[in-house]
Amino acid sequence: MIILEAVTIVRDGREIICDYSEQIPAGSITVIVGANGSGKSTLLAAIAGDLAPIKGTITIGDIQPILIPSAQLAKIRAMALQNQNYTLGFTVKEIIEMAGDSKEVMDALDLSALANRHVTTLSGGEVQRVAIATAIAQKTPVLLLDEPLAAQDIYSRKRIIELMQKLAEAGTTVVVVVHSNESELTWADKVIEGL
Amino acid sequence: MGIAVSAIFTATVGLLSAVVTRADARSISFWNFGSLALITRENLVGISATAVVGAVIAWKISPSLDRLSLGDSTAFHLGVNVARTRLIALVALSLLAGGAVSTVGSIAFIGLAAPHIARFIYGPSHRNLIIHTAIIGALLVVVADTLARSIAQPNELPIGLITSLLGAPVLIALVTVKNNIWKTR
Repeated sequence: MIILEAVTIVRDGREIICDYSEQIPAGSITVIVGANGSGKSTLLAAIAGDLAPIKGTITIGDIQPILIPSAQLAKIRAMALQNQNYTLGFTVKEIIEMAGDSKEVMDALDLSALANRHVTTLSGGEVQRVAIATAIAQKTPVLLLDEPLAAQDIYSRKRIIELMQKLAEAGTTVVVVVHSNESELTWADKVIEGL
Repeated sequence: MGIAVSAIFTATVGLLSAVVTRADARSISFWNFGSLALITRENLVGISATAVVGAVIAWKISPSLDRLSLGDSTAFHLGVNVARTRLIALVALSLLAGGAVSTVGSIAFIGLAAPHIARFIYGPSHRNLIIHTAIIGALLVVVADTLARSIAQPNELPIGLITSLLGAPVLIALVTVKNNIWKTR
């Protein structure tokens, strides 16, 4: 369970999230939905420990992400960024194996055929899938995905959603940020709107 | 930032050259151009120590450097302590570059060309890069020194001149041919 208690987050001098409380159940898919600039990615970054709230607390289980070393935190939560940018020519397999085993997750996300391709030669959707696969390969109890469906075709969307469902069934707490134009959220166990 | 720091140190060297004795000024100027002519056995012991310690540290933090190349945020998500890794990398870098420069002076382009050539041939993995950069860098220095000693006999040309003449075109060629060598193997 992820618990946010009266959280206020300021970014670049602007209050993005104010006095916000929420509970995200374990072993389920929770979707944070909202328009551009509503603070959904900021909230995800705060859960990931990237940002410290100026007020309130965020806890994963009984751990506050901002208080523990990065190596320990990486065993608890994994995160895939929305706009991952790869500048060096590592292969897809090499990148995913920086996090853990690659085979299973590459099969699940249709990346096996791209295993030896350089990430700098991939399309936007493929890059996003590599970032998602890397986060999943970390095999953490909490998985945070920032707009994982944004650049995907229908086939890939289906695969990603099915994989999230499978992970949630196996006990992973999946938190996903999606844009408000995402219409069907039937795959979500909980939807958080209007931050 | 790098340009500014470089300007400050260049100015400091210029100031020192102006206030020291003529003999010292000559050795500063000699050091500025770089040379392998005055290396002693003691120098070799010193540079071996800094090279080995620096290389071992670099080797140890290579997996973190690989992750760091994915961006600070992603590296952090993968468990890398970004600030500490940068600091350790700076220590390794200082030992490797400082040890070499204090022994043979500043020889232009080796530090720039060798890792780029290694990355171009062997890919971006830092463990690979450390070994191959060392070999390629050593080869470049030996070839350049041999040319510097033999081209204009009996005079010896500054080795920095040769490495610039060799290294700069190689770098330009790599950048031009492959558009962006950071992105390719």
